[in-house]
Amino acid sequence: MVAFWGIINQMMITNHQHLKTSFNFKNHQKRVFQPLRERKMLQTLSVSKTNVENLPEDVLRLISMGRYTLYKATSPSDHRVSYVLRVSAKDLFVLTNNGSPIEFNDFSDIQITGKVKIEDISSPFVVSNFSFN
Amino acid sequence: LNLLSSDTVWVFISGSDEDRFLDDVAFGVQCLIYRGFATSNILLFIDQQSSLSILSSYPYPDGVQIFETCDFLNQVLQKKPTNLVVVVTGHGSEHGIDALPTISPYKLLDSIKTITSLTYGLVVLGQCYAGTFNFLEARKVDQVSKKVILPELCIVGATDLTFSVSVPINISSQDILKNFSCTLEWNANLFLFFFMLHVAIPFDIDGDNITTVIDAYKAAGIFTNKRLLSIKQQAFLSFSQTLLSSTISQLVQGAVASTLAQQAKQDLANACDGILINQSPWILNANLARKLNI
Repeated sequence: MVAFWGIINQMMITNHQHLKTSFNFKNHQKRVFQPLRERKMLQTLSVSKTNVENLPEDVLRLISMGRYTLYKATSPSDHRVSYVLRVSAKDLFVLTNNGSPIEFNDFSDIQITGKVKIEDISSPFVVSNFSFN
Repeated sequence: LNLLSSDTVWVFISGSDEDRFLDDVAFGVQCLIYRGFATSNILLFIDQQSSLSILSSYPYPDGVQIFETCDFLNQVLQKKPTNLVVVVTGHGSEHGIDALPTISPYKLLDSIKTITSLTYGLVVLGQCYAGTFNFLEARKVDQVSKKVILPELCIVGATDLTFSVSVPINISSQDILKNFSCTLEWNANLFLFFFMLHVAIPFDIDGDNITTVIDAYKAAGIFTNKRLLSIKQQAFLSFSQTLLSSTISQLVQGAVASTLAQQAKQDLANACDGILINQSPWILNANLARKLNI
């Protein structure tokens, strides 16, 4: 059975919070979670790095490593909003359609429409699949 | 003592709803379902620390209930479990589990000991600085008679007084796992991944003809370190090249862009921590772990 246990060859990410230099939108309130059948599932969207050309290469690397998460987003009150970049548990950046971060304070009407995978950048580390062999 | 019995409740805790932690939880739930464990006995306690409502779009199965971490004790008490397993992912610090509010080691263990229906409890800690939970009293002592009473706890930590690590995992090509109803490619907490994988596909690693928490602990520890050791040289080389090529001169017009660029550079450098550390799993009250079958 030991043969079931296989190979992982990836970059490591530590699970503690690092710097908190960006916006902090801590908004702790009681939430009611919806049952699954009522939930709208997030799609994963493939986007070329040329679409978000104003994002620094470091950010793209961190997204590919899974350290940062990039979401497609809209805001009825601000049509500049195209993406939300999550850099930690609490810290978010709002981006325009070319990846430029913008000042943004009111997240109340932000709609997350999908999770973004950057299709043409890979983690700087060789990533081989987990294997049972 | 079977931790997959109908009088056992499994709890997953994450003080953050970042994607990689939600995916850790989703994988753990699927491992239990794979073993035929009832979803009605699975409780999730997840805090949403940003204003994004990511959690509501996650594909947790019907029957699995989700609450905030501050509801932990109240919700578990209502289940009246005989056995309780608590699996913790997310962030940790020297103060314990990063949650709203922070869960200190003593507070968590003391809360579990107050569950009157409970006989045995297992706590599996995947967050950073899990070692802050070590060396605490795993047994309950009656304040009057000074005798040891139930419940009795066993605690497993992914790492001692340092960071835990998450690594990219892809299980989509694996026959056994590819039909799991969870994200198949994510940045998994490595120790928890192997621990829950052992729950799904247990094997007797120490040859005593039973599969227990001890086997899961050993398997998770061995395979976590085995993988980490094998990648460090390559990862370090790649990381050095990445950091050398990293600049913050690229398109950083404006204060917000500059803030993001600075933070990304720092975060990339900080991620190097993972290359330099080891994972030192530990177990408290191994005598009980030998009795807890998986």
